[in-house]
Amino acid sequence: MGHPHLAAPLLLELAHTVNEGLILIDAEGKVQLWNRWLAERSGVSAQEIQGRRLEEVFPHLANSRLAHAVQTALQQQLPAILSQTLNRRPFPLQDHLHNDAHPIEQAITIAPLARESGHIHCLIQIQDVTAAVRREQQLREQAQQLQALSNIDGLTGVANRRSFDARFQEEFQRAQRHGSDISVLMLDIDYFKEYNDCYGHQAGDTCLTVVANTLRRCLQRGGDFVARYGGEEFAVVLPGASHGAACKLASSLQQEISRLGIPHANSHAASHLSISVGVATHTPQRNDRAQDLLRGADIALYQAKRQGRNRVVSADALDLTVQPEKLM
Amino acid sequence: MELNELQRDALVEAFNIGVGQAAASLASMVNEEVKLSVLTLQLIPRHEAMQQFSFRHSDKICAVAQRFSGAFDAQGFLIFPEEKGLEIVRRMVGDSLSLKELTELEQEAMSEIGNILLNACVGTLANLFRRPLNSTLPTYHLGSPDEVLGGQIQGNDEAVLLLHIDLTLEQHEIQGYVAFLLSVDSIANLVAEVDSYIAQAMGGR
Repeated sequence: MGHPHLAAPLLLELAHTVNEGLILIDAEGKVQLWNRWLAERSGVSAQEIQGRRLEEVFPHLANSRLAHAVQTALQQQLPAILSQTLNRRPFPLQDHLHNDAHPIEQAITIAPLARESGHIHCLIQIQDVTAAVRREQQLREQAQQLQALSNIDGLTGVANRRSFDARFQEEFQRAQRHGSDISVLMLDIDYFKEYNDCYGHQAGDTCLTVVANTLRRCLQRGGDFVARYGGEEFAVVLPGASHGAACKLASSLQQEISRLGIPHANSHAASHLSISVGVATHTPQRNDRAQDLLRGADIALYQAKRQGRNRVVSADALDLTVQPEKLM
Repeated sequence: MELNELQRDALVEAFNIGVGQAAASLASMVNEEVKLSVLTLQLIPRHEAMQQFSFRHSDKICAVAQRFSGAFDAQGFLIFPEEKGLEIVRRMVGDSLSLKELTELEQEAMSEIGNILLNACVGTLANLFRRPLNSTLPTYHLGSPDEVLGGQIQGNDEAVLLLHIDLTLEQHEIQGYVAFLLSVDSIANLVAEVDSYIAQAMGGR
Protein backbone atom coordinates (compact mmCIF):
# COMPACT_ATOMS: atom_id res chain seq x y z
CA MET A 1 0.00 0.00 0.00
CA GLY A 2 1.05 3.61 -0.45
CA HIS A 3 0.76 4.44 3.25
CA PRO A 4 3.06 2.02 5.07
CA HIS A 5 3.16 4.31 8.12
CA LEU A 6 -0.52 3.72 8.77
CA ALA A 7 -0.52 0.95 11.33
CA ALA A 8 -3.23 -1.69 11.36
CA PRO A 9 -4.74 -0.57 14.72
CA LEU A 10 -5.05 2.97 13.38
CA LEU A 11 -6.77 1.74 10.21
CA LEU A 12 -9.14 -0.33 12.32
CA GLU A 13 -9.93 2.66 14.50
CA LEU A 14 -10.63 4.62 11.30
CA ALA A 15 -13.07 1.97 10.10
CA HIS A 16 -14.91 2.14 13.43
CA THR A 17 -15.02 5.93 13.50
CA VAL A 18 -16.43 6.76 10.04
CA ASN A 19 -20.00 7.99 9.99
CA GLU A 20 -21.40 5.18 7.89
CA GLY A 21 -21.74 1.42 8.00
CA LEU A 22 -18.75 -0.64 6.86
CA ILE A 23 -18.71 -4.40 6.34
CA LEU A 24 -15.68 -6.29 5.05
CA ILE A 25 -16.43 -9.71 3.54
CA ASP A 26 -13.70 -12.21 2.69
CA ALA A 27 -13.50 -14.48 -0.36
CA GLU A 28 -15.52 -17.16 1.46
CA GLY A 29 -18.33 -14.70 2.02
CA LYS A 30 -17.65 -14.38 5.76
CA VAL A 31 -17.80 -11.12 7.69
CA GLN A 32 -14.32 -9.90 8.67
CA LEU A 33 -15.28 -6.42 9.84
CA TRP A 34 -18.55 -5.00 11.19
CA ASN A 35 -17.93 -1.45 12.29
CA ARG A 36 -19.21 0.38 15.35
CA TRP A 37 -21.70 2.49 13.35
CA LEU A 38 -23.47 -0.74 12.33
CA ALA A 39 -23.24 -2.39 15.74
CA GLU A 40 -24.92 0.65 17.31
CA ARG A 41 -27.77 0.70 14.80
CA SER A 42 -28.39 -3.00 14.20
CA GLY A 43 -28.22 -4.35 17.72
CA VAL A 44 -25.79 -6.98 16.36
CA SER A 45 -22.30 -6.77 17.85
CA ALA A 46 -19.11 -7.40 15.89
CA GLN A 47 -18.42 -10.51 18.01
CA GLU A 48 -21.80 -11.97 17.11
CA ILE A 49 -21.36 -11.66 13.35
CA GLN A 50 -17.59 -11.94 12.78
CA GLY A 51 -16.59 -15.07 10.87
CA ARG A 52 -20.19 -15.82 9.88
CA ARG A 53 -22.02 -15.30 6.59
CA LEU A 54 -24.46 -12.35 6.44
CA GLU A 55 -27.34 -14.73 5.65
CA GLU A 56 -26.75 -16.66 8.88
CA VAL A 57 -27.47 -13.56 10.94
CA PHE A 58 -29.96 -11.97 8.51
CA PRO A 59 -31.81 -14.89 6.86
CA HIS A 60 -33.87 -12.56 4.63
CA LEU A 61 -30.67 -11.67 2.76
CA ALA A 62 -30.35 -15.17 1.29
CA ASN A 63 -30.65 -14.93 -2.51
CA SER A 64 -31.26 -11.19 -2.25
CA ARG A 65 -29.98 -8.53 -4.61
CA LEU A 66 -27.40 -7.68 -1.92
CA ALA A 67 -26.16 -11.29 -1.77
CA HIS A 68 -25.86 -11.41 -5.56
CA ALA A 69 -24.02 -8.10 -5.66
CA VAL A 70 -21.51 -9.36 -3.05
CA GLN A 71 -20.99 -12.49 -5.13
CA THR A 72 -20.43 -10.41 -8.29
CA ALA A 73 -17.86 -8.29 -6.45
CA LEU A 74 -16.01 -11.37 -5.17
CA GLN A 75 -16.15 -13.42 -8.37
CA GLN A 76 -16.14 -10.85 -11.19
CA GLN A 77 -14.65 -7.91 -9.30
CA LEU A 78 -17.47 -5.63 -10.44
CA PRO A 79 -18.86 -2.99 -8.05
CA ALA A 80 -22.56 -2.36 -7.46
CA ILE A 81 -24.86 0.18 -5.90
CA LEU A 82 -28.15 -0.59 -4.19
CA SER A 83 -30.41 2.43 -4.31
CA GLN A 84 -32.82 3.19 -1.50
CA THR A 85 -35.84 3.32 -3.81
CA LEU A 86 -35.29 -0.07 -5.43
CA ASN A 87 -34.04 -1.82 -2.25
CA ARG A 88 -36.03 -0.97 0.83
CA ARG A 89 -33.86 -1.27 3.94
CA PRO A 90 -31.74 -4.35 3.20
CA PHE A 91 -30.42 -4.21 6.79
CA PRO A 92 -32.76 -3.82 9.77
CA LEU A 93 -31.19 -0.66 11.20
CA GLN A 94 -32.73 1.68 13.77
CA ASP A 95 -31.70 5.17 14.72
CA HIS A 96 -31.81 5.19 18.55
CA LEU A 97 -29.74 8.32 18.86
CA HIS A 98 -32.68 10.64 18.35
CA ASN A 99 -35.68 10.80 20.63
CA ASP A 100 -37.96 9.22 18.05
CA ALA A 101 -36.40 5.89 17.14
CA HIS A 102 -37.00 5.25 13.43
CA PRO A 103 -35.83 2.77 10.80
CA ILE A 104 -32.85 3.97 8.76
CA GLU A 105 -33.23 4.30 4.98
CA GLN A 106 -30.12 3.00 3.26
CA ALA A 107 -28.05 3.63 0.15
CA ILE A 108 -25.48 0.87 -0.29
CA THR A 109 -22.25 0.56 -2.26
CA ILE A 110 -20.52 -2.76 -2.81
CA ALA A 111 -16.95 -2.82 -4.13
CA PRO A 112 -14.19 -5.42 -4.57
CA LEU A 113 -11.01 -4.77 -2.55
CA ALA A 114 -7.32 -5.70 -2.37
CA ARG A 115 -6.89 -7.34 -5.70
CA GLU A 116 -3.10 -7.21 -5.83
CA SER A 117 -2.64 -9.51 -2.85
CA GLY A 118 -4.64 -12.16 -4.65
CA HIS A 119 -7.15 -12.36 -1.81
CA ILE A 120 -10.27 -10.63 -2.94
CA HIS A 121 -12.41 -8.97 -0.33
CA CYS A 122 -15.63 -7.10 -0.69
CA LEU A 123 -16.44 -3.83 1.06
CA ILE A 124 -20.05 -2.94 1.78
CA GLN A 125 -20.70 0.71 2.63
CA ILE A 126 -24.05 1.74 4.07
CA GLN A 127 -25.14 5.36 4.07
CA ASP A 128 -28.06 6.78 6.05
CA VAL A 129 -30.30 8.56 3.53
CA THR A 130 -33.33 8.94 5.82
CA ALA A 131 -33.18 12.74 5.58
CA ALA A 132 -33.22 12.66 1.78
CA VAL A 133 -36.15 10.24 1.78
CA ARG A 134 -38.13 12.54 4.07
CA ARG A 135 -37.26 15.57 1.98
CA GLU A 136 -38.49 13.90 -1.19
CA GLN A 137 -41.62 12.70 0.56
CA GLN A 138 -42.39 16.30 1.48
CA LEU A 139 -41.64 17.43 -2.05
CA ARG A 140 -43.99 14.75 -3.36
CA GLU A 141 -46.78 15.80 -1.03
CA GLN A 142 -46.36 19.44 -1.90
CA ALA A 143 -46.37 18.69 -5.62
CA GLN A 144 -49.58 16.71 -5.21
CA GLN A 145 -51.19 19.49 -3.17
CA LEU A 146 -50.21 22.07 -5.75
CA GLN A 147 -51.61 19.97 -8.54
CA ALA A 148 -54.87 19.45 -6.65
CA LEU A 149 -55.12 23.16 -5.87
CA SER A 150 -54.54 24.21 -9.45
CA ASN A 151 -57.55 22.10 -10.48
CA ILE A 152 -60.00 23.40 -7.89
CA ASP A 153 -62.22 26.45 -7.92
CA GLY A 154 -61.08 28.48 -4.94
CA LEU A 155 -64.56 29.62 -3.87
CA THR A 156 -66.75 26.56 -4.28
CA GLY A 157 -64.22 23.73 -3.97
CA VAL A 158 -65.48 21.94 -7.10
CA ALA A 159 -63.35 21.45 -10.23
CA ASN A 160 -62.42 24.68 -12.01
CA ARG A 161 -62.79 25.46 -15.71
CA ARG A 162 -59.24 24.37 -16.49
CA SER A 163 -59.72 20.99 -14.92
CA PHE A 164 -63.16 20.68 -16.55
CA ASP A 165 -61.67 21.20 -20.02
CA ALA A 166 -59.07 18.49 -19.46
CA ARG A 167 -61.35 15.94 -17.80
CA PHE A 168 -64.23 16.47 -20.20
CA GLN A 169 -61.87 15.93 -23.14
CA GLU A 170 -60.56 12.76 -21.48
CA GLU A 171 -64.05 11.38 -20.84
CA PHE A 172 -65.16 12.25 -24.37
CA GLN A 173 -62.21 10.35 -25.83
CA ARG A 174 -62.90 7.41 -23.55
CA ALA A 175 -66.53 7.33 -24.76
CA GLN A 176 -65.20 7.54 -28.32
CA ARG A 177 -62.97 4.50 -27.76
CA HIS A 178 -65.61 2.42 -26.02
CA GLY A 179 -68.53 3.55 -28.20
CA SER A 180 -70.48 4.55 -25.06
CA ASP A 181 -72.79 7.47 -24.25
CA ILE A 182 -71.62 10.64 -22.59
CA SER A 183 -73.97 13.32 -21.23
CA VAL A 184 -73.33 16.92 -20.24
CA LEU A 185 -75.49 19.28 -18.20
CA MET A 186 -74.99 23.04 -18.34
CA LEU A 187 -76.58 24.80 -15.36
CA ASP A 188 -77.13 28.45 -14.60
CA ILE A 189 -78.43 30.11 -11.42
CA ASP A 190 -81.53 32.12 -12.41
CA TYR A 191 -81.29 35.90 -12.00
CA PHE A 192 -78.02 35.65 -10.13
CA LYS A 193 -77.07 39.27 -10.92
CA GLU A 194 -80.32 40.36 -9.24
CA TYR A 195 -79.51 38.09 -6.28
CA ASN A 196 -76.14 39.80 -5.85
CA ASP A 197 -77.69 43.26 -6.21
CA CYS A 198 -80.32 42.46 -3.60
CA TYR A 199 -78.36 40.48 -0.98
CA GLY A 200 -74.76 41.58 -1.60
CA HIS A 201 -71.73 39.81 -3.05
CA GLN A 202 -70.93 37.91 0.12
CA ALA A 203 -74.36 36.31 0.11
CA GLY A 204 -73.83 35.66 -3.60
CA ASP A 205 -70.60 33.80 -2.84
CA THR A 206 -72.33 31.73 -0.17
CA CYS A 207 -75.11 30.95 -2.59
CA LEU A 208 -72.60 29.71 -5.22
CA THR A 209 -70.94 27.47 -2.63
CA VAL A 210 -74.25 26.03 -1.43
CA VAL A 211 -75.34 25.30 -5.02
CA ALA A 212 -71.97 23.69 -5.85
CA ASN A 213 -72.14 21.48 -2.75
CA THR A 214 -75.72 20.46 -3.50
CA LEU A 215 -74.82 19.51 -7.07
CA ARG A 216 -71.81 17.53 -5.89
CA ARG A 217 -73.86 15.71 -3.25
CA CYS A 218 -76.44 14.66 -5.83
CA LEU A 219 -73.90 12.95 -8.10
CA GLN A 220 -73.86 9.30 -7.18
CA ARG A 221 -71.58 7.53 -9.64
CA GLY A 222 -67.78 7.60 -9.41
CA GLY A 223 -67.03 9.05 -12.84
CA ASP A 224 -69.58 11.90 -12.63
CA PHE A 225 -68.22 15.32 -11.81
CA VAL A 226 -69.32 18.92 -11.45
CA ALA A 227 -67.24 21.97 -12.35
CA ARG A 228 -67.69 25.72 -12.04
CA TYR A 229 -67.78 26.68 -15.70
CA GLY A 230 -68.12 30.46 -15.44
CA GLY A 231 -69.46 33.06 -12.97
CA GLU A 232 -72.77 31.44 -11.96
CA GLU A 233 -72.59 28.65 -14.52
CA PHE A 234 -71.85 25.02 -13.65
CA ALA A 235 -71.21 22.01 -15.87
CA VAL A 236 -71.82 18.38 -14.97
CA VAL A 237 -70.26 15.51 -16.94
CA LEU A 238 -71.95 12.11 -16.79
CA PRO A 239 -69.84 9.48 -18.57
CA GLY A 240 -71.87 6.48 -19.71
CA ALA A 241 -75.24 8.10 -18.86
CA SER A 242 -78.06 7.74 -21.41
CA HIS A 243 -80.04 10.82 -22.37
CA GLY A 244 -83.01 9.63 -20.32
CA ALA A 245 -80.88 9.12 -17.20
CA ALA A 246 -79.19 12.52 -17.70
CA CYS A 247 -82.57 14.31 -18.02
CA LYS A 248 -83.82 12.56 -14.89
CA LEU A 249 -80.74 13.65 -12.94
CA ALA A 250 -81.09 17.20 -14.32
CA SER A 251 -84.68 17.36 -13.03
CA SER A 252 -83.67 16.08 -9.62
CA LEU A 253 -80.85 18.67 -9.43
CA GLN A 254 -83.32 21.40 -10.31
CA GLN A 255 -85.71 20.15 -7.60
CA GLU A 256 -82.94 19.83 -4.99
CA ILE A 257 -81.91 23.45 -5.55
CA SER A 258 -85.54 24.59 -5.27
CA ARG A 259 -85.95 22.53 -2.11
CA LEU A 260 -83.11 24.48 -0.45
CA GLY A 261 -85.65 27.31 -0.29
CA ILE A 262 -83.05 30.08 -0.47
CA PRO A 263 -85.14 33.29 -0.64
CA HIS A 264 -84.71 35.30 -3.87
CA ALA A 265 -87.09 38.28 -3.82
CA ASN A 266 -85.93 39.67 -7.19
CA SER A 267 -86.30 36.46 -9.21
CA HIS A 268 -88.89 36.47 -11.97
CA ALA A 269 -88.79 32.69 -12.15
CA ALA A 270 -89.72 31.72 -8.59
CA SER A 271 -89.91 33.07 -5.04
CA HIS A 272 -86.70 31.24 -4.14
CA LEU A 273 -83.37 30.44 -5.76
CA SER A 274 -83.71 28.26 -8.88
CA ILE A 275 -81.60 26.95 -11.74
CA SER A 276 -82.01 26.35 -15.47
CA VAL A 277 -80.47 23.26 -17.02
CA GLY A 278 -79.60 22.23 -20.58
CA VAL A 279 -78.96 18.53 -21.25
CA ALA A 280 -77.10 16.97 -24.19
CA THR A 281 -76.03 13.37 -24.81
CA HIS A 282 -73.92 11.86 -27.53
CA THR A 283 -72.33 8.58 -28.53
CA PRO A 284 -69.18 10.06 -30.06
CA GLN A 285 -67.92 8.68 -33.35
CA ARG A 286 -64.34 8.81 -34.52
CA ASN A 287 -64.23 12.38 -35.84
CA ASP A 288 -66.70 13.99 -33.45
CA ARG A 289 -65.58 16.85 -31.25
CA ALA A 290 -66.17 17.32 -27.54
CA GLN A 291 -66.95 21.01 -28.04
CA ASP A 292 -70.00 20.19 -30.21
CA LEU A 293 -71.55 18.20 -27.35
CA LEU A 294 -70.89 21.11 -25.01
CA ARG A 295 -72.44 23.48 -27.52
CA GLY A 296 -75.54 21.28 -27.62
CA ALA A 297 -75.94 21.54 -23.85
CA ASP A 298 -75.32 25.28 -24.04
CA ILE A 299 -78.01 25.82 -26.65
CA ALA A 300 -80.45 23.78 -24.55
CA LEU A 301 -79.60 25.97 -21.56
CA TYR A 302 -80.31 29.16 -23.52
CA GLN A 303 -83.59 27.62 -24.60
CA ALA A 304 -84.46 26.84 -20.96
CA LYS A 305 -83.81 30.47 -20.08
CA ARG A 306 -85.89 31.70 -23.01
CA GLN A 307 -88.80 29.52 -21.95
CA GLY A 308 -88.92 31.24 -18.55
CA ARG A 309 -86.04 29.64 -16.54
CA ASN A 310 -86.34 27.23 -13.56
CA ARG A 311 -86.60 24.27 -15.94
CA VAL A 312 -84.72 21.51 -17.77
CA VAL A 313 -84.47 21.49 -21.57
CA SER A 314 -83.13 18.58 -23.59
CA ALA A 315 -80.96 19.25 -26.64
CA ASP A 316 -82.69 16.30 -28.31
CA ALA A 317 -85.87 18.36 -28.49
CA LEU A 318 -84.12 21.24 -30.28
CA ASP A 319 -82.88 21.92 -33.76
CA LEU A 320 -79.18 22.25 -33.06
CA THR A 321 -78.43 23.89 -36.38
CA VAL A 322 -79.80 27.13 -34.89
CA GLN A 323 -77.01 29.43 -33.79
CA PRO A 324 -76.95 30.12 -30.04
CA GLU A 325 -76.82 33.88 -30.63
CA LYS A 326 -80.29 33.79 -32.14
CA LEU A 327 -81.67 32.04 -29.11
CA MET A 328 -80.59 34.71 -26.69
CA MET B 1 -12.22 -2.30 -37.86
CA GLU B 2 -15.63 -3.42 -38.99
CA LEU B 3 -17.22 -6.57 -37.67
CA ASN B 4 -18.33 -9.23 -40.11
CA GLU B 5 -21.71 -10.89 -39.76
CA LEU B 6 -20.37 -13.92 -37.93
CA GLN B 7 -18.57 -11.77 -35.37
CA ARG B 8 -21.63 -9.61 -34.91
CA ASP B 9 -23.93 -12.59 -34.40
CA ALA B 10 -21.56 -14.13 -31.87
CA LEU B 11 -21.42 -10.89 -29.87
CA VAL B 12 -25.19 -10.33 -29.99
CA GLU B 13 -25.72 -13.86 -28.72
CA ALA B 14 -23.21 -13.39 -25.90
CA PHE B 15 -24.67 -10.01 -24.88
CA ASN B 16 -28.21 -11.34 -25.00
CA ILE B 17 -27.31 -13.93 -22.35
CA GLY B 18 -25.86 -11.15 -20.21
CA VAL B 19 -28.80 -8.76 -20.53
CA GLY B 20 -31.20 -11.65 -19.95
CA GLN B 21 -29.63 -12.13 -16.52
CA ALA B 22 -29.88 -8.38 -15.89
CA ALA B 23 -33.59 -8.50 -16.77
CA ALA B 24 -34.10 -11.33 -14.27
CA SER B 25 -32.42 -9.29 -11.49
CA LEU B 26 -34.49 -6.21 -12.32
CA ALA B 27 -37.70 -8.26 -12.45
CA SER B 28 -37.14 -9.78 -9.02
CA MET B 29 -36.43 -6.32 -7.60
CA VAL B 30 -39.68 -4.78 -8.84
CA ASN B 31 -41.81 -7.94 -8.80
CA GLU B 32 -42.80 -7.46 -12.37
CA GLU B 33 -41.99 -8.82 -15.74
CA VAL B 34 -38.94 -7.12 -17.23
CA LYS B 35 -37.64 -8.04 -20.67
CA LEU B 36 -34.33 -6.96 -22.12
CA SER B 37 -32.89 -7.77 -25.49
CA VAL B 38 -30.17 -6.61 -27.84
CA LEU B 39 -31.74 -5.55 -31.14
CA THR B 40 -28.61 -4.66 -33.10
CA LEU B 41 -24.88 -4.36 -32.52
CA GLN B 42 -22.48 -2.12 -34.39
CA LEU B 43 -18.82 -1.18 -34.17
CA ILE B 44 -18.72 2.36 -35.52
CA PRO B 45 -16.60 5.51 -35.35
CA ARG B 46 -17.38 7.85 -32.51
CA HIS B 47 -19.02 10.60 -34.59
CA GLU B 48 -21.47 8.13 -36.12
CA ALA B 49 -22.45 6.95 -32.67
CA MET B 50 -22.97 10.54 -31.51
CA GLN B 51 -25.44 11.05 -34.35
CA GLN B 52 -27.51 8.12 -33.13
CA PHE B 53 -27.66 9.58 -29.62
CA SER B 54 -29.32 12.75 -30.90
CA PHE B 55 -32.79 11.33 -30.39
CA ARG B 56 -35.54 13.02 -32.32
CA HIS B 57 -37.82 14.11 -29.51
CA SER B 58 -35.29 14.92 -26.87
CA ASP B 59 -32.38 17.28 -26.76
CA LYS B 60 -30.96 15.81 -23.61
CA ILE B 61 -29.86 12.29 -22.92
CA CYS B 62 -29.77 10.56 -19.59
CA ALA B 63 -26.82 8.24 -19.08
CA VAL B 64 -25.24 6.00 -16.49
CA ALA B 65 -21.48 5.60 -16.91
CA GLN B 66 -18.82 3.23 -15.59
CA ARG B 67 -15.14 3.18 -16.51
CA PHE B 68 -13.68 -0.25 -17.05
CA SER B 69 -10.02 -1.29 -17.03
CA GLY B 70 -8.02 -4.49 -17.07
CA ALA B 71 -8.20 -6.77 -20.11
CA PHE B 72 -9.06 -3.60 -22.01
CA ASP B 73 -9.93 -0.01 -21.19
CA ALA B 74 -13.41 1.19 -21.94
CA GLN B 75 -16.06 3.67 -20.94
CA GLY B 76 -19.42 2.01 -20.64
CA PHE B 77 -22.68 3.96 -20.96
CA LEU B 78 -26.34 3.15 -20.70
CA ILE B 79 -28.13 5.84 -22.70
CA PHE B 80 -31.77 6.87 -23.01
CA PRO B 81 -33.53 10.01 -24.24
CA GLU B 82 -34.26 12.11 -21.13
CA GLU B 83 -38.02 11.47 -21.03
CA LYS B 84 -37.50 7.72 -21.41
CA GLY B 85 -35.14 7.78 -18.43
CA LEU B 86 -37.90 9.42 -16.38
CA GLU B 87 -40.37 6.82 -17.60
CA ILE B 88 -38.12 3.88 -16.70
CA VAL B 89 -37.45 5.04 -13.16
CA ARG B 90 -41.06 5.94 -12.46
CA ARG B 91 -42.32 2.64 -13.79
CA MET B 92 -39.71 0.75 -11.79
CA VAL B 93 -40.25 2.68 -8.58
CA GLY B 94 -44.01 2.80 -9.12
CA ASP B 95 -44.37 6.38 -7.97
CA SER B 96 -45.85 9.18 -9.99
CA LEU B 97 -44.21 12.38 -8.93
CA SER B 98 -44.58 14.37 -12.11
CA LEU B 99 -41.51 16.55 -11.66
CA LYS B 100 -39.61 17.40 -14.82
CA GLU B 101 -36.32 15.99 -13.58
CA LEU B 102 -35.29 12.97 -11.60
CA THR B 103 -34.89 13.65 -7.90
CA GLU B 104 -31.68 12.72 -6.10
CA LEU B 105 -33.06 9.35 -5.02
CA GLU B 106 -34.52 8.66 -8.44
CA GLN B 107 -31.13 9.39 -10.04
CA GLU B 108 -29.67 6.82 -7.74
CA ALA B 109 -32.30 4.29 -8.80
CA MET B 110 -31.40 5.02 -12.43
CA SER B 111 -27.72 4.54 -11.58
CA GLU B 112 -28.51 1.16 -10.09
CA ILE B 113 -30.47 0.09 -13.18
CA GLY B 114 -27.51 1.18 -15.33
CA ASN B 115 -25.10 -0.59 -12.99
CA ILE B 116 -26.97 -3.89 -13.31
CA LEU B 117 -27.10 -3.62 -17.11
CA LEU B 118 -23.51 -2.49 -17.62
CA ASN B 119 -22.17 -5.13 -15.22
CA ALA B 120 -24.11 -7.79 -17.13
CA CYS B 121 -22.67 -6.61 -20.45
CA VAL B 122 -19.14 -6.22 -19.17
CA GLY B 123 -19.37 -9.61 -17.46
CA THR B 124 -20.10 -11.01 -20.90
CA LEU B 125 -17.00 -9.32 -22.28
CA ALA B 126 -14.90 -10.51 -19.32
CA ASN B 127 -16.01 -14.08 -20.02
CA LEU B 128 -15.03 -13.61 -23.63
CA PHE B 129 -11.56 -12.41 -22.59
CA ARG B 130 -11.39 -14.96 -19.77
CA ARG B 131 -10.03 -12.15 -17.60
CA PRO B 132 -11.85 -10.03 -15.05
CA LEU B 133 -12.32 -6.32 -15.63
CA ASN B 134 -12.19 -3.65 -12.96
CA SER B 135 -14.76 -0.94 -12.81
CA THR B 136 -15.55 2.34 -11.12
CA LEU B 137 -18.91 2.89 -9.45
CA PRO B 138 -21.69 4.11 -11.74
CA THR B 139 -22.33 7.82 -12.17
CA TYR B 140 -25.47 9.53 -13.45
CA HIS B 141 -25.32 12.16 -16.22
CA LEU B 142 -27.89 14.39 -17.89
CA GLY B 143 -27.16 16.70 -20.81
CA SER B 144 -26.64 16.92 -24.54
CA PRO B 145 -24.82 13.94 -26.12
CA ASP B 146 -21.72 16.15 -26.40
CA GLU B 147 -21.84 17.18 -22.75
CA VAL B 148 -22.33 13.65 -21.52
CA LEU B 149 -19.98 11.80 -23.86
CA GLY B 150 -17.81 14.49 -25.40
CA GLY B 151 -15.31 14.83 -22.58
CA GLN B 152 -14.90 11.11 -22.21
CA ILE B 153 -13.12 10.40 -25.46
CA GLN B 154 -9.98 11.92 -26.81
CA GLY B 155 -8.72 11.61 -30.34
CA ASN B 156 -10.35 10.04 -33.32
CA ASP B 157 -8.80 6.65 -32.87
CA GLU B 158 -11.63 5.47 -30.77
CA ALA B 159 -14.65 3.53 -31.77
CA VAL B 160 -17.91 2.70 -30.15
CA LEU B 161 -19.30 -0.76 -29.64
CA LEU B 162 -22.97 0.15 -29.79
CA LEU B 163 -25.80 -2.08 -28.62
CA HIS B 164 -29.32 -0.99 -29.45
CA ILE B 165 -31.41 -2.46 -26.66
CA ASP B 166 -35.09 -2.92 -25.98
CA LEU B 167 -36.38 -2.78 -22.42
CA THR B 168 -39.97 -3.89 -21.79
CA LEU B 169 -41.54 -2.74 -18.51
CA GLU B 170 -45.23 -3.29 -17.74
CA GLN B 171 -45.72 -4.08 -21.44
CA HIS B 172 -44.18 -0.73 -22.43
CA GLU B 173 -41.24 -0.93 -24.80
CA ILE B 174 -38.45 1.54 -24.23
CA GLN B 175 -35.44 1.61 -26.51
CA GLY B 176 -32.00 2.86 -25.65
CA TYR B 177 -28.33 2.11 -26.09
CA VAL B 178 -25.47 0.47 -24.29
CA ALA B 179 -22.24 1.96 -25.63
CA PHE B 180 -18.65 0.99 -24.97
CA LEU B 181 -16.04 3.53 -26.00
CA LEU B 182 -12.92 1.61 -26.93
CA SER B 183 -9.38 2.48 -27.97
CA VAL B 184 -7.88 1.08 -31.17
CA ASP B 185 -5.86 -1.47 -29.16
CA SER B 186 -8.91 -2.62 -27.31
CA ILE B 187 -10.83 -3.01 -30.54
CA ALA B 188 -8.09 -5.19 -32.02
CA ASN B 189 -8.10 -7.26 -28.82
CA LEU B 190 -11.85 -7.56 -28.87
CA VAL B 191 -12.00 -8.70 -32.51
CA ALA B 192 -9.24 -11.26 -31.87
CA GLU B 193 -11.06 -12.63 -28.84
CA VAL B 194 -14.33 -12.83 -30.73
CA ASP B 195 -12.57 -14.77 -33.50
CA SER B 196 -11.06 -17.25 -31.09
CA TYR B 197 -14.43 -17.59 -29.37
CA ILE B 198 -16.06 -18.35 -32.72
CA ALA B 199 -13.29 -20.83 -33.62
CA GLN B 200 -13.82 -22.57 -30.29
CA ALA B 201 -17.58 -22.66 -30.71
CA MET B 202 -17.22 -24.08 -34.25
CA GLY B 203 -14.66 -26.62 -33.13
CA GLY B 204 -16.87 -27.67 -30.28
CA ARG B 205 -19.74 -28.65 -32.55
